[in-house]
Amino acid sequence: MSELTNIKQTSSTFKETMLRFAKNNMGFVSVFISVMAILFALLIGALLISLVGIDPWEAISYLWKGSFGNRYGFGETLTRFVPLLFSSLSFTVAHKSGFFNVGAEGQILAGAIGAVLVAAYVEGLPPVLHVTLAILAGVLFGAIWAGIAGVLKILLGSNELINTMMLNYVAVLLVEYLIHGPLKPADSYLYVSATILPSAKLPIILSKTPLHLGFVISLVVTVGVFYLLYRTPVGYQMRMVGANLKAASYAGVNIVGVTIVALVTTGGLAGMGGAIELLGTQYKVSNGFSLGYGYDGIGVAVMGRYHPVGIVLSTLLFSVIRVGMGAMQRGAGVPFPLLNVIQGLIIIFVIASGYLTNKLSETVIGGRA
Amino acid sequence: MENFMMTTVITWLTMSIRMATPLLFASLGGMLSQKAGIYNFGLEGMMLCGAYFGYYGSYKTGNPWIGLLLGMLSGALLGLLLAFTSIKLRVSQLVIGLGIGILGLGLTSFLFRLIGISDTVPAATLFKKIDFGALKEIPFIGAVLFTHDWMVYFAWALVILTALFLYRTTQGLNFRAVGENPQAADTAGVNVILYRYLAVIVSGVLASLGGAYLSLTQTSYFTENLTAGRGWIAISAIILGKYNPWGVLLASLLFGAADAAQMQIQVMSLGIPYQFLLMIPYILAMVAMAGVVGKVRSPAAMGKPYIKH
Repeated sequence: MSELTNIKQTSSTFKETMLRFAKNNMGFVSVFISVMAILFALLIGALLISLVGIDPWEAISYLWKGSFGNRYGFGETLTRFVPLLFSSLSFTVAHKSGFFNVGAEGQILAGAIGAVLVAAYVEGLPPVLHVTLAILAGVLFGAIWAGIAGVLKILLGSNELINTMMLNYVAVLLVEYLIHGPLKPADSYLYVSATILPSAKLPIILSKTPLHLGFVISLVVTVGVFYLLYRTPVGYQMRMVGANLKAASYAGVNIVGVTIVALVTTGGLAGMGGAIELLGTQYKVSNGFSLGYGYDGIGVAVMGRYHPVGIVLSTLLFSVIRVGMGAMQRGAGVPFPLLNVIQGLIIIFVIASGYLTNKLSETVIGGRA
Repeated sequence: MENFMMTTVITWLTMSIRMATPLLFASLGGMLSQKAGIYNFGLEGMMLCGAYFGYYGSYKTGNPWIGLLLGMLSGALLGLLLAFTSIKLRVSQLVIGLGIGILGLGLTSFLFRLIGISDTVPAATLFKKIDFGALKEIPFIGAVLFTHDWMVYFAWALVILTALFLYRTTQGLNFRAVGENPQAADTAGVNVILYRYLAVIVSGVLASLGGAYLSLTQTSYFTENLTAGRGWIAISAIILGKYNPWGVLLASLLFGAADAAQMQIQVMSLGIPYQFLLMIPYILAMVAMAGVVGKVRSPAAMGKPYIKH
């Protein structure tokens, strides 16, 4: 009898100790829970691989070898990082300011179209100016593409989630049309746009790899985006609108103005991602130009919990998975769409794990610890 | 010439009904979920799973019914996932819906590539069209209305059943109350949580039926992203249909008619680039929503998790 009480006491002391630890290290605990959620998603991915008769360890070794195993793979991983980072920044800004933009995929394509017009057809510019103008064109086109859904929301209150999603399908078809017609060089047999001029190409920053200057630009822009969101009055108002529209409106925030800034930023970021991908990596617009970067960005932002460090780290992880998955397909025959399976699972597990974090902080703040 | 016009119109109407059916299943499902207060933004993923597993079951066993059951099971499981995470864990219904969408696309493409490695895609056994005998011979109407498979008529029957359930039964009243004012419903003794679970699971099953319709009556094969955004168009059909089963039927028919029209224009080869024709359903969805927003009242508690006090 006394032994039983003893055990009970020990276990309750253990619980108390754990809760006290959680109270003092809430940040650490929530990161830990997220990491567990991600590992869980990867584990299910590995299970799927073994279910279809492929050795998961062999597959995982390709994941590593492909992404970090050699100089080229390393460069490729950091190259994929760039459009992914822009895409997740775009989703983050949208999420924070209450404009639910799932249209980064379409805005990336729109940005690439804008950029290719300047980069392939405007001649005689010095490189710095040419690159800058091409990127600005990408920003403009991305913002316009998001702006269509934005105008429908501001003027009519139409649901931007569905509209931005519809615009993704339209953008894919628009690209398809352009590369079959107006943007296809007359002498080309392939359905791709004209190649951009040398003066519009972003320089390679790591020799013998595809890594280009866009990597640095993406990191600088990240700092800029979070500066805008957390250190400027308009950023404060954007977050206020996103957190509580009514409260923001009572506080006298110019909702329409703030929403316009938000949607120009979210669309512009995705468009910039498309432009930089064009100028640094692909040099021409083709059928599979984006291949889901826009949708990946949603997963990255959710996984990074809309936090700058979190986003950079989760972008890195997603680009490792993306590059590694290519190697896994070539080496072990694992079909590439496993990428989406893992992404879907990561989104589901990470936001579901938010429940645990909330529950824990309720308990801790409730003073029961 | 007149004869040609007639044939074109008949083909167009027949195709419209066919193209409307997957949307009708999915939007009825999505409407039920939203009426109970839960956003279902996972319709696209659920439809894809219905289409893939329907195809797989039918191709493996030669029996489309087994395929259909398998497809419905996948939809029910995704519905359960959405229900659990949004009702019990109270996570963002928008984000979890997107997660399900991405998961559905990935899982079906992944599994399909595993069996589709051989050069020809194996065909699944399709559901046969119902033979209406003499009815089919009625001029015009016979060709348009009595040349379909059972799933089309089943979808219509579901519209009637849903309308009767929602507006003519006590359970239907409770169901709507759960989405309008869960606190009041709870006070009146309605099991809010149970209704919401059932609504979301049923909505998953219906969406998967919409997907299975495509692979088991139309194409007989699966391709990656077979549904091509129909799950999202279904959501705008719900809004356009003002959250009413009859309205949803009309909205689905409108989108189906647009889809059928663009297909027919493609065949006529009038010189319009096919990419622009393919854009029509998506643009129509945006235009239609823009036309009705502000005039539609959505269920008051939609998207808000219910916390019992």
